[in-house]
Amino acid sequence: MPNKLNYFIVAIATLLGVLSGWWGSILMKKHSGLSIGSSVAIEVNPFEIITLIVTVLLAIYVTRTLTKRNDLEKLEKEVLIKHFDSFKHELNRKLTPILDKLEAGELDLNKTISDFKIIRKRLDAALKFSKDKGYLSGNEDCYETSKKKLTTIWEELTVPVPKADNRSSISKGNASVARIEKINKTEQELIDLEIAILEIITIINKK
Amino acid sequence: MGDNVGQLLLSVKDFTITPGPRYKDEGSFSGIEFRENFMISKFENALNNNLKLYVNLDGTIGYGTSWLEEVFGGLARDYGINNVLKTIKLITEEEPYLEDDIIGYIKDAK
Repeated sequence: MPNKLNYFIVAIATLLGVLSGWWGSILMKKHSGLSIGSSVAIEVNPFEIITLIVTVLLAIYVTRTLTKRNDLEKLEKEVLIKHFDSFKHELNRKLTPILDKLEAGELDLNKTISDFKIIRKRLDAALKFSKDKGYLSGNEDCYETSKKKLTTIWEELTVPVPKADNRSSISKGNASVARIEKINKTEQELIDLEIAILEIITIINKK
Repeated sequence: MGDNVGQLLLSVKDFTITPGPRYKDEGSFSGIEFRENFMISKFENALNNNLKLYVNLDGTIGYGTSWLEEVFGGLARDYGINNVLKTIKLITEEEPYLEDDIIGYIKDAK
């Protein structure tokens, strides 16, 4: 749709240009002493030829090189933003069952550890790529915050809550409270992490 | 796990690819089990002979906080923070951020 609208605007502008030129020439003939000659003088001016060549070369450079480079940079930026966005969704997709299992006291430590290896690696790779390509400097608050918040969530969820059994001094009630505390802390950290990712996306978008 | 001149190597994946919790009674392949049965003899050898002990963390499904703290923090509690920092070298291509985590556990060991 935006392309069709652009063509329509260009067509209208061209039509208006032609009409105003035609109207302008009529006005010029009526109200001024200027006139348009019927013959055209042909001269060879070396400076004009050089100017023409430079103009043509510039046009080729702008259309072939600059436009291509701009398109590539735009594409790279869009892919990077999509990557951070999909990271945010994957984080929620992996954390939801982990928190559900933690609440039920059935957390699978190996699965949780494995999921976190993927999540942390993905964020680390995306941040490094953004820094290497110049979209982030690495000094932004959100850059460090995103890493710290994910580390805190990993630390919170990969330390098992002691089980309430005959050998343990922990009662069922206390174990349940400890699990709820972990879930609550994780969810708070998750909110901060999501905000940090949004800030990262905003910074990349402005580049 | 081969030993080169001036350095010793220790690969976690030779112990297990699924490092578990901190204590033995919490589950299999605990941190304390790794430290006591696999790490201490190599670490003492490296420390006494002024060698570096390279610990390769790659090739596992990942690590939990308590496992890493028990292994490296526990080592620092037993042998001193500076001795651990000067002797242990980490190899972690898969999860480079683990190096910062582990150095933090060693420095915070009490």
